[in-house]
Amino acid sequence: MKQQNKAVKLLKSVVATVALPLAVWAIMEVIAVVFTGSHVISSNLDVRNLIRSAGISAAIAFALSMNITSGRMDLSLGSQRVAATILGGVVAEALGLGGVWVLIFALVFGTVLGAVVGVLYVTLRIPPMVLGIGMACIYECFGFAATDGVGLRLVGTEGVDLLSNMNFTIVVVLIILVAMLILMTYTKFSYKFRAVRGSQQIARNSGINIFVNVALCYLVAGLVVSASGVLDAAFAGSMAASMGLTSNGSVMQNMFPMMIGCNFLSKYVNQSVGIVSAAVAVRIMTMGLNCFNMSEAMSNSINMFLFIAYLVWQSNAWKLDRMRADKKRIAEAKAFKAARAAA
Amino acid sequence: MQSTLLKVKESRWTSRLLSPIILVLLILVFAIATGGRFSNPRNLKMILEQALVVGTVATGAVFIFATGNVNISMGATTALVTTIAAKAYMATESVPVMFLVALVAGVIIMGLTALLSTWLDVRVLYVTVVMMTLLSSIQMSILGSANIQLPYDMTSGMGDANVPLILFIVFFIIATVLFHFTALGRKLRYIGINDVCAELTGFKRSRYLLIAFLVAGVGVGFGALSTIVRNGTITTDTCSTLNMDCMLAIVLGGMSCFGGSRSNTYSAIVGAVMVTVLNNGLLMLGVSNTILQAVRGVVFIILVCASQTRPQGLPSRDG
Repeated sequence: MKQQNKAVKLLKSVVATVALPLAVWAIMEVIAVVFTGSHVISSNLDVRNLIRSAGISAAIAFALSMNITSGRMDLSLGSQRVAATILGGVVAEALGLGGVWVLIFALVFGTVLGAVVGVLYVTLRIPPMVLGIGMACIYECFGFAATDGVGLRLVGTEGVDLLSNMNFTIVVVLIILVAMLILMTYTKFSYKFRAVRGSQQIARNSGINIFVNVALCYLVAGLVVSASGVLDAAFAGSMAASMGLTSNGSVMQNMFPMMIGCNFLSKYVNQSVGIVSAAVAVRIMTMGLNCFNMSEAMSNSINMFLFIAYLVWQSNAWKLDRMRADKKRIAEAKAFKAARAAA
Repeated sequence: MQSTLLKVKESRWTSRLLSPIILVLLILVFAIATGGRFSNPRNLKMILEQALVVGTVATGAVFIFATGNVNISMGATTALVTTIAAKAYMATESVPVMFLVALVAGVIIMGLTALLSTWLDVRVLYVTVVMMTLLSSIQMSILGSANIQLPYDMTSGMGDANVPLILFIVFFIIATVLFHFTALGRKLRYIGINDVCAELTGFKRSRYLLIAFLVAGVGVGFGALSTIVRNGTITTDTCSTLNMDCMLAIVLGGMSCFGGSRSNTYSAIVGAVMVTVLNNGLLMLGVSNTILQAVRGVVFIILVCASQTRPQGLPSRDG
């Protein structure tokens, strides 16, 4: 009986995981076929691009989820991503190392940059959004100064073919997924993380060192976002050194899958799996919009409109539930009254 | 000794006068360090002109900051309004239409941003982040790969007539009267000090937040017009650093980023001039643009720390 329940639960999780991407694919496929005569996914290349871009998107969403779900908006995440990727690439190149070393150095730099923001946050205790803006100003200079504004170029660089290899990307994304799944489900860190998210004061009173836990959140976010930066640079062939707080744009676009994964799909499946599922769904939607030969800006605008619609629905869903409950109670009261009158 | 220092720190005159004093000191230091090149009247006039756009938008942003909320989409909103107003001018070749479109667009976009959080209950934190990305994308969609080049006669004519200065002075006077001499300003500051207490007293937070965003929308409209006059060409990079400059200006001007009783409108212009003085002075001393941004980041963090009392726990307010 217990085993049967487990099997049903597992089946439900699998259905919940694939339902959203499948539903989005079905809707976009119908729209694309009817209006343009083309398909959302029509070749092997499309599948490869989907896996790669969804992997990058999921990694950024993981990083965002470390702080946003606790009400901390880290606006330095984009600059951490750019700086860690560029510095990792520059150091690996300077040492004559290529391929996986770019990723390893980027992860090291990402961890350090994330940890610095975390330590500063718990030490200075200024609003995370404000601290993020200040730190982004500083971090953006690292990548810019290290390459004289050119940014990191991986195209034509020896030994970095591995980074753009499809299988390598899948392995990295799987490692991130498994690591995040274990970290956010089965470790003491995750219990403490959830306690701090619930109530800082109660967590502190129950003996949790909230400062260490929050600093670790920033560290993990820096680590994961730097991995996404390397995969993105390998995919695009370069990573631009941005200034003027423009580094955050690509990170903020991934708030949509993060919110769907953390606030909606997490009701049915593990949060980490939900984030990946949501990332795949959003990428399929973007690929569907691309069938209309839309510009990236237009596609982003539609994504953001849908994101706003989702936020509005999420904030007001309880009102609908209450309306439904009220309606049910009124119907019950009427039925009871009618029954009493009849008696 | 310690209590005297604390008294001086807590005095309202310290917060009011510290920023202007630092500004004067900065000007003196740069004037000496550059051998008088910095204090050249032409350079000082240029600094003032550069500060006008940031000053105008930041003056409006003070109304939002006073309530304890941070709007990080001010730059993106101004950029979009600038693009819409420039398009309107290119279509009609009428300056009054451009003025009207800029004002209406500014108020509508800021009003929509406010309505999402007040009427539809989405957290301000999420709304401003999403709006920042959305408005930038819309601006890019409108512009495409092209730039909008406005006629030189129109921009230079308005520049010679000191239109940006007039716009700033008009808006600053209206904003100062509203913020310091009416119940609206007091209520906004009260919400910034303690929104729960303000709500229980009978001040509807959502209503005053909406008003704050609408006033900021007027500032955005005026700021957009000043940008058009100053730049002449509208690109996707227009106003790209305005958001950071606005926040930096408000904090440098002596206002707390938590809002409340220490909020005032003159912080915006004092801070805007200070940001421009810092940029201009350091550039004259040969500091590269790259380092300049890092310096601004460090100064920003230090000033935010200095403007607040370190809480026992981690900041609990959103953002």
